[in-house]
Amino acid sequence: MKLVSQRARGAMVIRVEEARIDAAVAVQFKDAFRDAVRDAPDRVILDLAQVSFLDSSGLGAIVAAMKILAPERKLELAAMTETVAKVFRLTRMDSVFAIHPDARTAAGLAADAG
Amino acid sequence: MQAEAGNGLPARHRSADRLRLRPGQGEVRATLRTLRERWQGQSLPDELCDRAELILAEVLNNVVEHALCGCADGWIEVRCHAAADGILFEVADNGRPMPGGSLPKGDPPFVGSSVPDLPEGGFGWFLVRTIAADLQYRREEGVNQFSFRLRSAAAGNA
Repeated sequence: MKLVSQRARGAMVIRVEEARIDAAVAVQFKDAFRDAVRDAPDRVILDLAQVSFLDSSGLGAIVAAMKILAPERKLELAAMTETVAKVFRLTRMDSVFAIHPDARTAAGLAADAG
Repeated sequence: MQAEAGNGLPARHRSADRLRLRPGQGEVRATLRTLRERWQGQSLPDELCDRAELILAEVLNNVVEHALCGCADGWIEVRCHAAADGILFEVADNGRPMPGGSLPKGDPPFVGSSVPDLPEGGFGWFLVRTIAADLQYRREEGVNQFSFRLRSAAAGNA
């Protein structure tokens, strides 16, 4: 489970470099996330641009990630593919997270980013 | 995992695939990948392939985790009859029967406002019941038989 972290303007962006967050890797995702956010700031943005498949186990793992950060810190989601967004919509879990079209916008990185 | 190819009919006719797998997440992923490639090779619509892959993943994960749960001689057999208007699945396994002998109701987990109370599970059967149709389960001579259908959004236009 490859997660790549990057700090930007008071937020941490965690990019998931896997095509699938599913039953096969749900536990690994949670463990890797917990390690990645050890020193995270208040806002953590999960960049899902590379994730093309998410099942109910993957959804549960992302909810668990939110709980790992709570209550002091917040998990936001970015760059969901339509396939993944559909799972969040059907389960109404899209109402639980702030969802951004891309990670850079979410982190407040505009064209002036240096 | 053993696979049998379709019978060579043109894509618009139904073709059947049968795959047998041992329980384990590597096998589930491999099965989904094989079937996805077959469906795309038959030019099934992407949205149908997406729904089919998700629902079959939920069903197979459920069998692995609850029916077979580590049983050394466990097996799962997936039969898949795919055409542009939809896909019929038949999933058989030699694991434990469904509790109560019937399918879970699949009520949606309650999504409340408090983070510690957010559900981490219980979404699988809700997704199956929401997306798949004609769900049928029976138990026969120690084997679970579960069938369900996914209709293409464009069904009826073919």
